[in-house]
Amino acid sequence: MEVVFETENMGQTEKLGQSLGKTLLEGDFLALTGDLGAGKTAFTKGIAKGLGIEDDVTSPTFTIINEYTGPVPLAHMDVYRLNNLQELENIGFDDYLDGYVVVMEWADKVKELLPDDVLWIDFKVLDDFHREIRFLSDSPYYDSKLRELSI
Amino acid sequence: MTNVLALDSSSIVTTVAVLNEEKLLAEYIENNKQSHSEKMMVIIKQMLEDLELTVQDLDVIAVAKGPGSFTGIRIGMACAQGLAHALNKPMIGVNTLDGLAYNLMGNNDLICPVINAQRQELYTSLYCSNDAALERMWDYKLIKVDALVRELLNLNHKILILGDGVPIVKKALAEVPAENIVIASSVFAMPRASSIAAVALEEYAKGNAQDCFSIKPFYIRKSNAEEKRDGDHGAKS
Repeated sequence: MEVVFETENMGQTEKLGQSLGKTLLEGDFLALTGDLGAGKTAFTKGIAKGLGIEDDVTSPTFTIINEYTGPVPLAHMDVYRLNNLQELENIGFDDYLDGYVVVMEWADKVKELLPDDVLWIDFKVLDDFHREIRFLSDSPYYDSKLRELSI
Repeated sequence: MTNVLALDSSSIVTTVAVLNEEKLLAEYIENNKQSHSEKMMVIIKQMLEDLELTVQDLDVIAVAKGPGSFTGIRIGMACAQGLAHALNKPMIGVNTLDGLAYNLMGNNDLICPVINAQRQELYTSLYCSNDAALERMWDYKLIKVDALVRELLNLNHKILILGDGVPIVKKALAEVPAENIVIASSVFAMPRASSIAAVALEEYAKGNAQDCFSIKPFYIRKSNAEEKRDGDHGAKS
């Protein structure tokens, strides 16, 4: 199932994330792709809000993994700086797959190590403010979450 | 008398034991949630106090070296290496799968420990008990649960499975009748530091101790298999 949204500003992108975040559970995996500045981090801020996390979400580009605790814990990852798959294993990637919602930026770089069923979300810059956000699900599980999405 | 301090944090279980040739002096097992990094040293300290031992009474530091959770393995290794380094004691690294199999030592059935490696995969091996010694029949390996179930069914022999991968095997077994595969009691199915210590004591007697600088964790990397596959296609530079 494919669902496409067009957001008019950063606030809407965040809101869309929040709408998805409300439906997520531990063990869910969001694989984000798309250009720099296309809204991946803003979207993840929304996810965190939707999960009931109060901490402010910041970019994991330098830390690679940021963990947030809350009613449903979140692991926000950015694998852009990783050189190979071993590095992802070395930082204990597998240990996050059960007990967290994982949001991974640049997930297409490490496809081989992702769980079988993930929700792909692609971000595209349309102009200074507008973004196209494309959700791609391969399973009834994520399909049902996509049906509840709104801005 | 050789006092072995053993610890295992390679899974969600945190476990510590002190064992010598005569008896198991103490064992602690917590099977609740991941919290090794906060608890391991505290548990060791408390256990030694309760036993009225000091760290100087320990002769060998044993640790479960993997396979298992990468983070958990590193916490255990770091604790054990730190102790061994500070106390100048020898170390023994015990394979987590060997340790699990030891839980069911003396059994006439085949023993198949399974550790959850995520993505429907398991770390596993196969053992039989011979004259009070464990014999490993397979290499340590990473395998898809479906493939493992097929292999076990083909063995036509009663097999006991144990470890934190059991729920995954159970789920796979729901779709195939498998009378020869039996799930061990949950009491014996988790990592126990006493088993790690027992294997370590045997290794120590054989002269297989290492120092804290030469001991290495035992990872089975999924990415190595992937890399090889890429290599077969000539994709990786």
